[in-house]
Amino acid sequence: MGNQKWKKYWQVLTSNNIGLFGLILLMIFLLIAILAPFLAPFDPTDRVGAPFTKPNSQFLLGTNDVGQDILSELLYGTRISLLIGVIAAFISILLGCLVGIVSGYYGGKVDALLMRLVDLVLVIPFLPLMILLAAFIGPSFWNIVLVISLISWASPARVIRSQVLTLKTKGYVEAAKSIGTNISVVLSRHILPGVIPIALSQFVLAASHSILIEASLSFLGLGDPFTKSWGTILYYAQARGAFLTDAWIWWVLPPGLLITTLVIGFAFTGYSLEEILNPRLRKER
Amino acid sequence: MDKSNLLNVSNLKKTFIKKSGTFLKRKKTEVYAVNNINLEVKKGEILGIIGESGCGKTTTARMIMRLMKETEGEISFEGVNLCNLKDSETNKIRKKMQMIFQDPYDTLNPGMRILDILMEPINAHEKNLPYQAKYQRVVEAIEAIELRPAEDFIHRYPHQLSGGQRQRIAIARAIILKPSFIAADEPTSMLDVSVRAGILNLLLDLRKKMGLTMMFITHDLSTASYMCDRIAVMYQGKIVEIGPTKKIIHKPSHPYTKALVAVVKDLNHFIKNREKLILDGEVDSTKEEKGCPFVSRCPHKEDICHSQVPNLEAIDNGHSVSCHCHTELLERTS
Ligand SMILES: Nc1ncnc2c1ncn2[C@@H]1O[C@H](COP(=O)(O)OP(=O)(O)O)[C@@H](O)[C@H]1O
Ligand SMILES: [Mg+2]
Repeated sequence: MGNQKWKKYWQVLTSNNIGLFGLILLMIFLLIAILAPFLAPFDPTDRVGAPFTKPNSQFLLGTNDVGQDILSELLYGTRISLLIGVIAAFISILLGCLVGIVSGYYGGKVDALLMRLVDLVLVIPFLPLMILLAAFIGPSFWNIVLVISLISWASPARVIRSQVLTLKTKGYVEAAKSIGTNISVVLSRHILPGVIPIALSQFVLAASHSILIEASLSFLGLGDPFTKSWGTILYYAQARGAFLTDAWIWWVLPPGLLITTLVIGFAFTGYSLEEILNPRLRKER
Repeated sequence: MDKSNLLNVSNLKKTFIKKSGTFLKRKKTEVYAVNNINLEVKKGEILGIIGESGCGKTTTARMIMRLMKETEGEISFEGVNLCNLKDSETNKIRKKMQMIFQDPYDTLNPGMRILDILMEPINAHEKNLPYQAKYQRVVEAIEAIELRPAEDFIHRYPHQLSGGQRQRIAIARAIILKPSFIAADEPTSMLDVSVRAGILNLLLDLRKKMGLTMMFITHDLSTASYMCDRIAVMYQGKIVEIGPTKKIIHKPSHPYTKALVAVVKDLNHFIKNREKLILDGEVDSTKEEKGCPFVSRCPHKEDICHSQVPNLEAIDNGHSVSCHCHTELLERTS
């Protein structure tokens, strides 16, 4: 039965144009990330040309201020952007699941306390907070991941909590309790399987947010200077005045477009996953 | 306390707080779902609990099964007071007392195979048994509930079974640990009429083979009279009459029991005496009234019924009723 269910999800996902489009975008980016060493004409850290070269047959997108190939930087940057997005989303979903399940299952004071915390995290304007946090703990790959996770676990926690609340009232959960099954088994055998599909769609949406946040932070110069993501490329472009010259066409526009496309890919996949898991949103076809 | 009692319930109460109204005019009303219940279940007997929907039957069973904390009162099982146990101790007791739930479509996890569903109780209490022995227990349990051959069912998912078969699996889950006490909460009310008798006979059969003691909850008097040795009639969270099945059926003393019996027993008599017997009016368990809880629907009410709560009084050997007027009523009907 489990198998059948996943097959049905897959069908809904692929019969939905938006979902299919999102999924294809994600596949393309995944391929680029994996194949970056083969696709990139140069090592992105090597100074291969004269600084500020305009696009030509050798450097398709020109070179930056120190003579590195921008195209190669972008291709390798896919890895960083994707990785940070996915890892940060994963951690925030893990955190969200933990908080959501504890809060929903135990209820009472624990629930009230955790949900106030969630409210707090949700209402704090996140950009200033993140800038503060990132500046405080310093720029590095894992610090960026940490900062993103810390502010994006709250909304998944809410969604998962509400799912746990409905699962909790199921007869089989009560039956398991009356049999004497201990709580950890009830949670892992009966609650968790009902939470995982929701967590999956939340994960995809969180990944799209994380990528955007990472780009913003890096653009503000709070990213890791040693692992160049698309956001970091934009930061250097801005710092070297590319926004004011013709260079914006090959130095600013491409990373911007890539960020947008990847975010859209995740968002579309996420929305149609949500549609699958919440049949009320499913349109008649 | 009598030694032959497996279960003793005394002064059991459950009050729910119902919140209503808007933010500013928030009202809190108390619902007395179970209101001062006393009963005992003797070893080996089937005690029926009967009453209309919402009278507190399920709530009573859930408190006995420790799925819900009581507001007040005491429950003792095999001489152990269940109300003050720690969670780990409660879990140990659960090996000996199990519940069969009302809705077989809800109580089996749709994502688990029958094998895993029936393994769950064994894993909870006898985790260290070798797998082969556990498997054997599962097969035996499935055979005990008359689904044969067991191997045909063991790898199925609940959605591949009919309602009756699901309820049988739920019964198998309840008996697999060989408990001494089972509470069955309307186990046939969600099933097709055609399979009900099969389930009831299975329960009677298991009781004989395993020496089970049972609490059988139902809203249907004819089912109760078929299954039970004694019957407790509940009304709005109270037991209004309790006694041996024969007495309840042939000499009902409380006007509410009389109405229930009349409906089942003799349709003609019921139709002729409609006004006297019909239960009219809304059930409202939100207020703890001064008088008899049944007074608003009672065809025989007197002054005292409005002002004083009747107590459960013995009128015969093992037969008690809570009604101010039961002596007069008895004379009038006989
Ligand atoms: N969890 C709960 N919260 C609030 N009220 C409840 C709850 N469970 C039961 N009740 C109320 O308690 C009363 C008795 O319910 P229940 O025991 O389920 O009745 P029965 O099983 O006899 O139909 C009903 O009025 C019901 O609304
Ligand atoms: Mg009920």
